[in-house]
Amino acid sequence: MTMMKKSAAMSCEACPSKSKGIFCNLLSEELSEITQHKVINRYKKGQTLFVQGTHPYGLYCVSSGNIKLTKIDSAGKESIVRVVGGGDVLGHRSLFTESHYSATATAMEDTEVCFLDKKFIMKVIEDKPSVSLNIINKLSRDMGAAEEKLSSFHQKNVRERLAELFLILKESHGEKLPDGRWKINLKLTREEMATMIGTANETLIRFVSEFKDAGLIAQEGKTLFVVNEEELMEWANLAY
Amino acid sequence: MDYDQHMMKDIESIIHIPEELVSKLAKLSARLTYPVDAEIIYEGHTPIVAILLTKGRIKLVRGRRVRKILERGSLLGVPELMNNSPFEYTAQINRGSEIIYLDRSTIKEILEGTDPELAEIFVELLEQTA
Repeated sequence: MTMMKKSAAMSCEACPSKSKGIFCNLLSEELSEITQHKVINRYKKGQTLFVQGTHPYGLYCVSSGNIKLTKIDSAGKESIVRVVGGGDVLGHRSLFTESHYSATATAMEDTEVCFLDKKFIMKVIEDKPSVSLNIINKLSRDMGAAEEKLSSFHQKNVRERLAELFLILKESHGEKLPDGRWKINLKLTREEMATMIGTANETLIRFVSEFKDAGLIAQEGKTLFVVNEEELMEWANLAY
Repeated sequence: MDYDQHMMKDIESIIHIPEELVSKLAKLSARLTYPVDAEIIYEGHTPIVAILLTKGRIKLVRGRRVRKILERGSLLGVPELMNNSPFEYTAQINRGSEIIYLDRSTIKEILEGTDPELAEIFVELLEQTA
């Protein structure tokens, strides 16, 4: 007989992203209830959490690592719609609708993700108002970001959209260095960046060179740095 | 009913569910059709839900080799899900396959529930793999 080895799930209390997550306001004993019910998995780079068009089973909480959400259009072209990291949740929209996943979620690096089934999380939402409010907050921010992206695609040129992308990445994955630069802790290929701003690879490469030459950004190996935030705001046509 | 005759000898955490019980389980959760080929469980992961295959095929892959092809009536992932233990294969579902999924809350309801026939299957499965 194969022995099933029961393993203890990492406690929500010890989660490196606890302060940024939807359960951040819960007490220790409330968190322990969630720890006991959740399923925790470590996804390797390239493994998918869910696939566009399939049915959602519940809520994913990202503990560490980055996950890209991609959509494939009818021509088979893939574009990144969002990148989520520690403290973010996935599948929260599906809790309140019966819609299928509108994108595919893929780990961009080794990523630790917890999963809570829909019945359980709905009970938590009913019992704990702070969790409901935090989910509403996430949904509102998602909606704001989607509106921004939509208007950006309609009203801005590629140069402005690229400047805006660097500023968004600085906000979401930036780490302030002592020399004043911002290190972007996210490895994106040129192709992935191109899909994020809706342009061709070649165009993106040309503009990245222009940004480097102008001293707005820098690159060391595969790591990107935001060097001049104020100038980037101007290039993005945003008020500083 | 003798459920042992439905057991798959080579992978003991996967059992075959007889037709009359499939319809009972269908009342507890929705039947879903996969519109694409997909990896539904990765080798070494704890399944996020258990899967009862009601139409189509699921391939169990380890390394690069297909070790088994599951057909209608196969129930996989219950002991691993309930024990937080790793599934030993990558489960790949074929496009067009139909499943009933059982999450942890639903399995707990079955174990504590009012249908002794269903509860017995799940208890036996969990005891056998404990």
